[in-house]
Amino acid sequence: MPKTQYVGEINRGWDVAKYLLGHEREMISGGGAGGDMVSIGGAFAKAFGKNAAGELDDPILRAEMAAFDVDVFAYRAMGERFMDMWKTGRAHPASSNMMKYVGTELNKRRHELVMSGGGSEALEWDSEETKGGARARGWLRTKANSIEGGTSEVMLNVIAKRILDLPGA
Amino acid sequence: MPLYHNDDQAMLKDSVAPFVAEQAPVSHLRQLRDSADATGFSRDLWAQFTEMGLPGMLVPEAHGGLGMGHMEAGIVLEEVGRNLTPSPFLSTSVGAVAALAKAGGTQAGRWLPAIASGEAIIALAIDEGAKHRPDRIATTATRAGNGFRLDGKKSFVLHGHVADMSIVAAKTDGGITLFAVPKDAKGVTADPRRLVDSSLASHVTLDGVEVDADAVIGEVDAGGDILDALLAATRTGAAAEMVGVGQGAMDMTVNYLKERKQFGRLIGEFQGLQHRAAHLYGEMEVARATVMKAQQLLDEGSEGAKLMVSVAKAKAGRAANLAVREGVQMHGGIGMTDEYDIGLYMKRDRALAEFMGDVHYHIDQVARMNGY
Repeated sequence: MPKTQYVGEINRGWDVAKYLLGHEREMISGGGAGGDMVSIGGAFAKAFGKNAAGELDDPILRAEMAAFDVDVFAYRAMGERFMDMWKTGRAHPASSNMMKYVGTELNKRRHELVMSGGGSEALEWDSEETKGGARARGWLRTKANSIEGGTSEVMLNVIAKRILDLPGA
Repeated sequence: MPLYHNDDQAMLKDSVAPFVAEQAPVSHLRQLRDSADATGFSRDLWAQFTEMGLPGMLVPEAHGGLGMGHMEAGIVLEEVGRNLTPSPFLSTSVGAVAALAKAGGTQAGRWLPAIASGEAIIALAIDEGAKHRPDRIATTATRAGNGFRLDGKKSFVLHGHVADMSIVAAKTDGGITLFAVPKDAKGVTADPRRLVDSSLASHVTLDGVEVDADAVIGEVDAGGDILDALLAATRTGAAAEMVGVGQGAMDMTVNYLKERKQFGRLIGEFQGLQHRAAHLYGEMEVARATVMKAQQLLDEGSEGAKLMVSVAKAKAGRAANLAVREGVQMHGGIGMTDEYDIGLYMKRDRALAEFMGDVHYHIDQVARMNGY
């Protein structure tokens, strides 16, 4: 390699790598907010039908979806606060690790609920009606979210060490 | 508006945080508890709150207050939570003020200045059973003479036995109406009960209580919107206080992990505890952001506030509950003793979580607001 082709400074490569990882973590954590799906229970209510009280007609699934919705609305507020603080230099430099951990765990939970909500239809792997098993394939893909760009366990290690300042981490 | 405190809010926090920590730390709660205090809070401390202008923070300037918002009130409540300070601030200065300011009229003119000057303590008589069900109010207000006659039973009325006035939600012919019921009204009995967190909440009986027509807060049958304003403010405030309780418990616990040695090692070195502490950190950060968002939307008068208030009460409830449970567990055996403060955090959290709708109630509300 020619001498000139290094990024940043000699012996400071880890600074650049951490910066890039921070961005990768932010990108992956974005899935936690759920994109166009405003409310998972709202999205499934039509398919399930409602009981006389107007509730999604599967009480335990409804409860799990509602608890999940709370966490998603909360995570969106967190995303807004994180970006506001990040842009103005107020955020802890390691806070992207927390965003990545919370966001990816949330996205995995979302797809578990999508599979539960979809029932046996969501199991179909290559049918036209399921757009080639989009739900099943999407569900399996999310399992990598908490592995790629640093596992959840690594994120927790970083939070413990750099934010909570716990010993020996 | 960015979702962090602006310079004025940061200054407020810088003056309120040391004030509460110095004047009303956890030892203040212990002192009230151990002396079997019958009021439920310290009037001397309330006088100090008044010197700082805190009771009238949310009171409009025209009524002698500071005209601040829920974001500012939340700063005070977080410190009240962090120090487990017994205080009528949430009921009086947040819940009652929200209702009176929304309603305007005679009762607003009568009580808002008295709240701002620290003279009036107000109780919120909403609940009627063990669980918060504001859509099923059974207390009745029937027209009698020039006014109304109130009959019913209220529960979980914080400061109900000492309040100068109670805001009573009752059913009228065409809806819900709120009434300002003064302390000395005939037929009102407040039976205070000591709760697990050492606070005092009353069972209030209204037995043929006669009030004048001008005791109505706002308009007859139109109390629904005013009650909604009261509930949104109080729930958001309780959520802010829970963020303080959770943060206080978490900070205490993380510090303990850095001090306590077991088998020759600091227990904070063990990955099993590190991961749980780091997970808790994430939950507390998310809860804090959520509560700020609810405060911001309320202050803006946004339509989305109602949803976010329920999200905040539920999320802060879950996060603070995790903080106090992990706190006791990570403190080990001493976490079960009265000598250490961590158990007091668990007790306060439980009471705050129940106040104005628990986690389950608000999760259900979120489902309803999203059409399922």
